[in-house]
Amino acid sequence: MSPVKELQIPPDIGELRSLEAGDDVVLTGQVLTMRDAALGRLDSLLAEGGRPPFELSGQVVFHAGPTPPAAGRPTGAIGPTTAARMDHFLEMLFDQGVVATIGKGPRSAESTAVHESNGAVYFAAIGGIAALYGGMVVAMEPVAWDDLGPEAVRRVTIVRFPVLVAIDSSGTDFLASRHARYRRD
Amino acid sequence: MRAIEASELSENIEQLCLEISTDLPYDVTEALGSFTRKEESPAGRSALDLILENARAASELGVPICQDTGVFTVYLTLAEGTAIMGDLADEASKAVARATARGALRPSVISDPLGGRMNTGDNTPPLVEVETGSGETTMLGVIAKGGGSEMASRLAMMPPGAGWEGALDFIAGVVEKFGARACPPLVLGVGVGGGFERAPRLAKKALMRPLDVETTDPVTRAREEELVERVNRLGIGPGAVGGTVTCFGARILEAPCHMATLPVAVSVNCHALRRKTVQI
Repeated sequence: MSPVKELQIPPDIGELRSLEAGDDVVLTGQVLTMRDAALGRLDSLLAEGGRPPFELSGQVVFHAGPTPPAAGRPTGAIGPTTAARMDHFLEMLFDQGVVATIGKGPRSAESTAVHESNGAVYFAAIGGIAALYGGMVVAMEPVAWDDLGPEAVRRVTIVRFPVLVAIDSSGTDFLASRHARYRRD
Repeated sequence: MRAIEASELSENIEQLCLEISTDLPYDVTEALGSFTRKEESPAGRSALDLILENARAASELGVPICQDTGVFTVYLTLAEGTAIMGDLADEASKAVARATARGALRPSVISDPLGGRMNTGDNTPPLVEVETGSGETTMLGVIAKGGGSEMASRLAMMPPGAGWEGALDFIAGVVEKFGARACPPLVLGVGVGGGFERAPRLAKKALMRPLDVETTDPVTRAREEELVERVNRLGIGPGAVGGTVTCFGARILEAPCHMATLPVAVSVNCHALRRKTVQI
């Protein structure tokens, strides 16, 4: 197993393309939360010829809807939501310059080609360990669309946040290969 | 006749909502622990260790186990000769709103699902299921179910001849297709019979059954064990990282149904099976 790679975002964004499916990565830096409602709104806005009120170029998007502050930290619990549900927004995000996403679970088979053609990366985190991930968040600030509540766009500062390269920039799907490895027919 | 004030139940409901949001039940952590020893994949074992570490952290810090604090369902089973005084649905809503504020829970419920999808802001309304029983005790239970696992749940109206084999194929197929998105390892609640509206309710109610108390009926128990074994051959694994533990428990509830039908519902639950039942 390859050693854990530590990346600072945004400074190390250029190194995303060198990551390979299956790499364990520790992320430190800033990510934007966007999930169903915010992605839907962005989609409508772009369709009408509008521009989002925030910069997406070079950003890492975290598909997450955090809980309110608790235990003296910016969020009590934060974790990835189902990435596959966001697959139909991937082209849009990559067109806007997004370089990577964080979510949970496998993405669709079709999405691997979308990652390859855009040189983008999908990081998988583990669903349901949000109390632990909450301890890796040092700041969380509103960015846009507060009316969406937990689905608003927020800038989250994470420190040593562990993820797995589930789809690399050449479109290799790691999770699918692991499922096949342990399948018993 | 015994009368129970809905306003008194409200406090119990609030307390249960708060407790299950931060404290994973003992039978669930025990089952996760025992299945960790059955996991063949190193990455899968690591994921299970993290899941248990997360449960400890949530309990110690008093923060939610998961950012998806779920939709609450309240189960009230009344003892024979017991009546509820007052507006239970309203009191349950108030309880959930108080718990959401006090517990810093995420508001995850929206109204107008096909339209504006506005967040209600306090997780109201909860689902409330009341059953009249013939027993001597009144039981109150609450479950918090997340959206990821709810999206993986399915109902099939099967032909009568499909039998257990057909039901098993259907459930395993559902987990194969959707289980990796539902935060495995999973607990599967299965509802068989009852009809189109009842089978899914039975399936969800089956999730309330403790994992550390063996199912008494030997045929049902064997089916539950067979289902777990079958699903664990899918390879999805804990955290969907690949492995031999995709499911760590199954419970089946049955009810009579029309002779032309075999309704089979599976309520998929994530590893954070957050529920508790108390006697009132």
